[in-house]
Amino acid sequence: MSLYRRLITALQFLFRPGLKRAMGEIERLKRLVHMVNDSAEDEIACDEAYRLLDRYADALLRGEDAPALLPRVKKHLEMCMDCREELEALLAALRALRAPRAPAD
Amino acid sequence: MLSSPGPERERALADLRVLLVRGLRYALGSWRRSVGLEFEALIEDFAQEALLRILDNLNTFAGRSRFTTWAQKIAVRTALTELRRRRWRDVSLDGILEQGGMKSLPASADGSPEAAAENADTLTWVRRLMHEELSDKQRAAITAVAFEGIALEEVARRLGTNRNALYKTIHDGRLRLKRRLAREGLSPGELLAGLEGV
Repeated sequence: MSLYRRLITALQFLFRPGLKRAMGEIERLKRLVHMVNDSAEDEIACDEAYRLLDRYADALLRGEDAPALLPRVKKHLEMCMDCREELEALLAALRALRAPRAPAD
Repeated sequence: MLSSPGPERERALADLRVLLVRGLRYALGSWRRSVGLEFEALIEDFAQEALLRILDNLNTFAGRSRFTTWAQKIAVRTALTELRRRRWRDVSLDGILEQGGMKSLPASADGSPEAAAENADTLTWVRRLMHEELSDKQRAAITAVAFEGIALEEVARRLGTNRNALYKTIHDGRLRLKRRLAREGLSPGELLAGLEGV
C-alpha cells in the first residue's frame, strides 16, 4: 500500500467516530446476550461470593482447581465484574507478598 | 494475638499493616495514574481503615483460608469501594437512563444497507424485549452495569440500595430475558447472528 493510501485510510479511520461507537455498542450488546444465555437459576450474590473469596484465592494460589472446589463462586465471578476485579486485586496482592524480596544491602 | 490488647497485639497490628500496604500498593498499581499524587497517602488510609474492619470482624474468620488472605481481602474491598466511588463520581446515571443504554446504530462498517437494517432490527427487538420483560429498576441496572460497564457497587449506591441486592435484581432480570428468549424459540446464537455484519 502506498504512503498516500495509508494516509487516506488513517484519516478515514480517525474521522469516523460514529463507527467506533457503533462497534463498541454491538460488542456490548453481544456481551449482554452472552450473559443472559449463561445465567443460572442458583447463582450466589456478592455477599456470599465475598465470604468465600479468600478460600477461592488460596486454592488458586496452591494450584488447586478452585472452580471445581467452589463452582458457584466461579459462576458468580463470570457474571460480576466488581467481584472479579476484587479477586484479581487480591491475587496480585498475595503474589506480591509471597514473592521473594531482594536482600537489603 | 490480635484479640488481646497489649504490646504483642500492637506489634502484630504493625506487621499486618505493613503487609496490607505492600499488597495494596502492588494490587492497585493500575489506579496510580488516575489517582495521581494522592496514591501513596490513599494506600495508607485504606490499610488503616482495613485494620479497623479486620479487628471488628475477627470473630468471623473461620480459619478456612490463610489469615493474611482473609485480611488482604478486606483491604482490597475497602480500597476498591473508595476508588470506584472516585472513578464514577462525575458520571451521571440519569444520562445513561435517558439514552436507554442503546442508541440507534449508525450504518455498519461495510456500508451495506442490509447489514445496517439487520442490526437495527435486532437492536429494536432487544429494546422491546427489555421494556416488556423487565421492571424499570432491572432495566436501569442492567443497562448501567451489564451494558455500560459501570461498577455494580456504584450503581447500587446511586439507586439507594446495596450491591448484593442489586446483583439479585440483575440476576432476576437476566433470567426473565433468558426465559423470554426460550419462549420465543430464539437461541442466543441466532440473536448474535443478527448483530453480525459489522
